[in-house]
Amino acid sequence: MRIEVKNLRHVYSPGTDFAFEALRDVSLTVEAGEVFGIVGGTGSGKSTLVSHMNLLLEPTSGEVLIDGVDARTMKKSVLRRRVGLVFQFPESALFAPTVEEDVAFGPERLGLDEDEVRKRVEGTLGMLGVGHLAPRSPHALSGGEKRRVAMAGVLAMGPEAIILDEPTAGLDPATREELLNVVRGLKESGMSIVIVSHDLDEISEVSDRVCLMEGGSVKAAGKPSDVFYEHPENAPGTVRVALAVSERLFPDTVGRPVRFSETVEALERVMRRNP
Amino acid sequence: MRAGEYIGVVGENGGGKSTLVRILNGLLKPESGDVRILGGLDPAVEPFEVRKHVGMLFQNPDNGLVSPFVEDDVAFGLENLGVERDEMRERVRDAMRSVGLEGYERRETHTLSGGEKQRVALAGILAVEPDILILDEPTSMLDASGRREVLERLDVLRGKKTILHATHHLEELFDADRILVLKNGELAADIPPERLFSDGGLMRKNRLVAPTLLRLAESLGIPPRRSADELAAEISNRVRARTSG
Repeated sequence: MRIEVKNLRHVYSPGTDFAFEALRDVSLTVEAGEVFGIVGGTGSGKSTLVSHMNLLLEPTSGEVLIDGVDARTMKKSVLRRRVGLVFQFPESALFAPTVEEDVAFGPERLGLDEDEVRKRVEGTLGMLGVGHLAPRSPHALSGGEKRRVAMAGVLAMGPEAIILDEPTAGLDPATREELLNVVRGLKESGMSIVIVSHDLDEISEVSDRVCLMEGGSVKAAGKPSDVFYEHPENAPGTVRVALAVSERLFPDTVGRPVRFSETVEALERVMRRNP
Repeated sequence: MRAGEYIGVVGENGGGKSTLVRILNGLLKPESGDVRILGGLDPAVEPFEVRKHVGMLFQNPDNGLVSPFVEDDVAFGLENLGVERDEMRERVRDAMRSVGLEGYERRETHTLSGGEKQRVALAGILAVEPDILILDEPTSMLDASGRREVLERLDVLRGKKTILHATHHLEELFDADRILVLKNGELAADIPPERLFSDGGLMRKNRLVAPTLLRLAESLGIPPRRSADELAAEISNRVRARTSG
C-alpha cells in the first residue's frame, strides 16, 4: 500500500482561544512495502500526522491518499482494517478476560468465520512470540507481553499497512530488539510500515527512509544516510561517531554508514587502512 | 542502600523493578520480608511518614502534575505537609532553581514539553526535601533533549541524595555506584556499572543490551567511552598513530 500525504495541515480546537496548529503543510509519501521512520521531538507533530493515515483525525486542509484514493471518501471501517494503527502504550486498551479473546475481538467484528478467526489469532500471536499466552489474562502479563498482545490485535485484522507509534517505549532492550525483528518480518511479508520513535538508534536500524519533523513541519525526509548526516543533532550514536571521526581526520573518511553493522565495518576499514 | 549512594536498577520487563520501587515507598505491601527507611521507618506501616523522606518520580510526565500552574504544582506537596507560607515560598523557589525552571512560575503545566513536565515533578519532590529519591524510568517517555534535561538535573543531585534509578537505558547509569539487576523477581546481580557492561555473559543472561556507543567501542576493540566525541577521538588517535608510525 502507498500512503501519500499532501499539503496536510491540522489545527486543534480551531476558532477558539486554544487553537493550535499542530501540522503545517506536510507532504510525504510512504511507498508500498517500505519501512518509513518518523522522528522528531515531543510536540513536533508525529502522532498528529500518523493519526491522519487512518482518519482518526481529519485534515483541516490538504489530503491523505491511500493507493491514490482520498481517505475521506473511504468507509472508515474499511480504511481502518486496511491501515492498522498501534497507539502509544496500546496495552491500556486490552480488555477481554483472555489474550485470545482480546485478539479475536477485531476479526470477529469483521464477520469472519470461527476457523478463520482462530487461524488469525494463532498466527499473529505466534508471529509475535506470545502464542503460549493465549489462555492467560492480558492484565497479568508483563509490559512487553502486553505490548505484543495489543499489536497482535491490530495485525489480526489483516492490514496492508501498519502504523506503530512509539512501539518500544518503556520496553527492555531485548524485548525492543525482538519487536524490531517483528517489524523486519512484517516488511518481508510486503506490508508498508510507518514507525514513530524517539529512539534514533532503533529507527536507523529498520527504516528504508526517514522523515524528521520539527514544529509541525517536515524538516528533512529521505534516505537515513542523507537525513541523519545533514542533521547530526538528530542522528543516532553510530552517525555521530562516524561524523566526528571524519571531522577529526578528513571529510568523508568514514563515508555515511547508519546501521550498526555498517558503521562497525566502515570504522574498521578506516582503522585498518594502510597509510 | 547507604546514604548518598546512586544505585541503578535494571532488568527485563516483568523482572520486578516497578514492584520493588512501589514497596519502598509504601504503595505496595510486601507479602513477607521487611523494608526499613532511614534506620527505622517501615513503609508498609507508616507510608505517609516515609513519603516525607522518599520522593518518587514516575514514567509518565502527565501523571505527576496536579495543578494548572507550575509554582502551585511545585508547592502542592508542601501544602499537604502544612508548611508555613514564607518557608513554602522559599522552598518552592529553591526547588525550581535547582531544576532550572526559574521564570516558569506562572506557566501553565499543560503547555510544557515532556522534559519540562518531569522537571516540574522533580521540583515538587525536591521542595519536600526528601533524603531519598526513587526514579522509576523517569526518561522513558521523553525525547532525546527531554532526557538530557532530566539527566543533567539528576547528575547535580548525585551524592547529595540517596538515589535509586530504575531504567532500561543502561547509558544513564555509567556513573552509578552500583547496579542491581533484577530477573524474575530476584536479585541476579549487585555490581558496579563497568563490570556489568563488560560482562557479556551476565548481560545476555539478564536480557540486557549495552548502549550503542559501548557496543561500537567493543566491536572495534576499544575500551568503553561515554560520548560519541570521546570514542571518535580515540579512533582518530589510533588511525593517526598508525599512519605516522
